[in-house]
Amino acid sequence: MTPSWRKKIGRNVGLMTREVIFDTPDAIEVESREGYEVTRRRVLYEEVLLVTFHRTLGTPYVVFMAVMTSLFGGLALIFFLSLHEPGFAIAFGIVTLPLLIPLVIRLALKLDFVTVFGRRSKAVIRFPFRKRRAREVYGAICSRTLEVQRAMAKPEPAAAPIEEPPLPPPE
Amino acid sequence: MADPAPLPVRSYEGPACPRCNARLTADWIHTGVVRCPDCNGDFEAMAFKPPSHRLVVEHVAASGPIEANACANHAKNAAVTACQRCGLLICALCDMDVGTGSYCPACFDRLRTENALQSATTRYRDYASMARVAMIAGLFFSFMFLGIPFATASLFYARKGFKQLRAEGRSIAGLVIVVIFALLEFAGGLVLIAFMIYALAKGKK
Repeated sequence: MTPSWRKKIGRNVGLMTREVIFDTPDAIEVESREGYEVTRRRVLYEEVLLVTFHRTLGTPYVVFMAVMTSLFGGLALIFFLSLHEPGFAIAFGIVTLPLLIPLVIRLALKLDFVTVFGRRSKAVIRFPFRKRRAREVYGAICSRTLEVQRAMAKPEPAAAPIEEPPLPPPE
Repeated sequence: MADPAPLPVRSYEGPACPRCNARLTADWIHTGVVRCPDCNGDFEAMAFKPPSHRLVVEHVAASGPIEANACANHAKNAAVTACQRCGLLICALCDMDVGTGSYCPACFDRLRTENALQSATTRYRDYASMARVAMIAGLFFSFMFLGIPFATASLFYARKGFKQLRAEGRSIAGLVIVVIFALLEFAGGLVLIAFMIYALAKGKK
């Protein structure tokens, strides 16, 4: 539970991961979901070592979608051109469409990743669509980290000198 | 038969290539465009050198015997505060402050085990999701008269979910919609049963 202020900045949803990433005043908070269990971990700004940004295609996803699209699309073409069965061709075409659209979107936009490496943990934020937002988040994390770490590095004011307690009178 | 080998658990080992997960040594951690030595992939990076925590622990001798009390766990260290649970005097080393007050290590461990410290909780059950799933399952199986038990479960989890969301300061709007649907589902189940009884009674006549 986090009673303090936090703002959702992104997600990392993959085949095996379901994570929601939040921004809090002192850390990036990652909530991983396994069924109904939510596990929370934090990457503290004061411990961030490296923030990275990269764009990737996601080859396994593209290959899988391309294979499925060509399979169903090929069947639709066979039914339409060779067997002259427009009904079956339309049915297979309808099945192909939900596979083809995400494939084209992925090829056009690719995936943006912002990764934050701390001393003890890391956070990954995935941006499939909002490219400008990805840049903004990357910049915001970098500037916030810099701000927190600069504040930590500032020398603390010197403590007042401790007065020596008076010695007991000589006997 | 030999026991199966335990599954390898990959622990976090520090900065790595975000593309291939190969560990980056200190030479490769710098600001600018970095090319991974393993996969040859490029990525933009901003490197930081976080300053180490400097904890000031005052000794009793330095503070003077009148001003300072000794820590209960470290006789040489001056106490800076008292544990909120047991009242023990503790030094800066023992002070477990997680934003809800200062606790000594023993009390902190106990409270964490009992899930009494909200800010130290790292694992919890998402009751709002459970309420939503129970409500949707009830809609699907309402024709089998399972709408009522599923709606009851949904309302039960929603009650816990409201508490959880309020504690976190999150919006309860989604859960309110779930409750409305669960109530409709419950009422629909009752109407269905009443209709069946009526139909059976009419059939007997």
